[in-house]
Amino acid sequence: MQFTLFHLMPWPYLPGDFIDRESSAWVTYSNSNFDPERGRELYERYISELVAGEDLGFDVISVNEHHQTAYGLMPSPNLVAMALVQRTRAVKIAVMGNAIPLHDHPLRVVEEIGMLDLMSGGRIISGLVRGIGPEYHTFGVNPAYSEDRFREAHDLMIAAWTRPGPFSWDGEHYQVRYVNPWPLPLQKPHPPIWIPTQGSTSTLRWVAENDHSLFQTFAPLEQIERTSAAFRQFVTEYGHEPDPMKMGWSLPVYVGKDDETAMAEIAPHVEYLYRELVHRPFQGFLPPGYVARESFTKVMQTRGAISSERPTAELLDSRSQIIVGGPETVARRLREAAERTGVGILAPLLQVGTMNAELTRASTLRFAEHVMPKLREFVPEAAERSAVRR
Amino acid sequence: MANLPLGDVGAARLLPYTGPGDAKATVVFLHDEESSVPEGLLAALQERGTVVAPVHPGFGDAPRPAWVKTVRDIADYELDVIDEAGPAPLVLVGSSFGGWVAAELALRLSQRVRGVLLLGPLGLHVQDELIADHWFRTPQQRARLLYEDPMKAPQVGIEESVANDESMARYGWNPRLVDPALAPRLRRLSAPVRILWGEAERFVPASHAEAWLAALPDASSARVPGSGHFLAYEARESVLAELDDLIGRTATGA
Repeated sequence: MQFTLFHLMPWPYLPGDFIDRESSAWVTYSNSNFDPERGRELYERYISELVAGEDLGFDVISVNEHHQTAYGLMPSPNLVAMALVQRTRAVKIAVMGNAIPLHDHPLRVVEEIGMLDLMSGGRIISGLVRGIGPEYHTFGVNPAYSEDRFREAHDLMIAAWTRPGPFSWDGEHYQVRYVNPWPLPLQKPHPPIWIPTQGSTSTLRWVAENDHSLFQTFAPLEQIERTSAAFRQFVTEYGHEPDPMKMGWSLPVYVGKDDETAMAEIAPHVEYLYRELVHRPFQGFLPPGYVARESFTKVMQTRGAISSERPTAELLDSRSQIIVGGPETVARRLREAAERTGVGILAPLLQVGTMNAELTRASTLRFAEHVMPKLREFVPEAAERSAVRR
Repeated sequence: MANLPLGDVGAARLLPYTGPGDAKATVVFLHDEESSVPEGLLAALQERGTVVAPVHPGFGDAPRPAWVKTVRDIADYELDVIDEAGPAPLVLVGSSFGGWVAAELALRLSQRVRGVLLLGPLGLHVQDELIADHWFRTPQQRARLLYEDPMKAPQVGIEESVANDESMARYGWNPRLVDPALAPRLRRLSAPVRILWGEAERFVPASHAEAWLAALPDASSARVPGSGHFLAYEARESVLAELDDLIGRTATGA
């Protein structure tokens, strides 16, 4: 298996009465609550935590992109990636933005990924995302065209990396007379592309059709398993070979000294992530037109059941939406999860919510020293094939 | 209720006159974002005249041709629907989003328009006077913003409300529910325009009422008690009385 050290760079200073007092940690929570001095310290600390991943043996360190939110301090994943490029030597760096429909222009992303890839000596993985619902409120980009824009921006990027320029692009959303980016990336035909998703059918199909890597985030194991199976099906339908190393899964992981103490140590930090940091009106998460009408209607019909459950750490752990325990337990559960899902890239989020530097370091060290070695040589087979052999 | 055979013109309804004697008007009703077919209101309009009620592309179950992306496109598209009503002079009634469509249609139909009744119309840009955000809100907050009495909101199915909300976003996400190029063109809308606002209007700033009056050559406005943004649902009697008055004032004698 491969290991990606994932980070969200959260703002850990939301007050205790935040949920009662504020309507959202996204879009509208006033930036008068942002303390630049604390922000400076957080960047230094969080970047160090990612850089440490190289010497600890992670294959990839990963940044992401969110805007106007306490959830994460990486509005520009490319800038954080550049800081990492300068402080590391060999580890790969996954940029799990860029939210291409949110920004004009995709060719700017083509240029920046090209620069990062060259300056890192070909160590960049280019994630491409639509940006989540609230971000359509922050930029004024029309959510009803989000998916169309994403797909066209992607096509334009691939063309810009693979077709000799200059050529013209006469699209629905982008019209460019001269597509001719300088510089081009080091990796050919372009850096690997990872698509983070919650797993809508149309996205799975699209990722399979384009032969990119699928990267699932923060869902219960049962859903990861279902989505992975559907994805492998689509990969086969499009004439490709399902490959565990083109499937990733990101989830919060806490490795304590032992099973007895781990849950109590992590619970408040995980619950801060799943309560305070995702606090927002449900409607803000799914702006109109952001997903297809049929999916939207389904969500509206099932919403009551989902939102009534308080996301305690125990509940999340029982669904393997997070994995908590001593080193033996975490290794065993991750291996079982990998067997069930056929996912070959694990991306633990090891700094979770309000975890301080000390707690983060301890859990990260235990993961690197006692969990990774147990799983390193293991490559999950596609789940249904192993089922047949049993 | 008869559906017009409109080919690719899309969903529209031509509703016959149901009152006594001859119809006093041909009423074009441009629906709002709450309900593409507000049955009770349409029935009341039918008592006053023949009714043409297009469903805007993308709303309800109406298809949307890919080229229709703006309210101006909607107006161009719906001209074909309105032609089906024949040559009679028209009274246009538009509610909220439909008020914006009505203004664009009136500019295009020009001499054929007898009068226009706008109910809390969207569409006019007033510098720094933004229409309130009803999207980054809980359903309860949204209902309190839009209605004086949220219980009066029309009952529509989830599928219709998802379609309507998506379409509103498609046409009006940014700039938010306005067209900066509408006001400079309104001077060509020479027909009498009556504009109604709810006294409890919290969605569209009061300054928009003044801006409509300033932009139109022949317009008047009134505030209606007992209603928030959607007069079509909260002040139906007042709306119908105003419509009767407009029909009477603009009678052609034909």
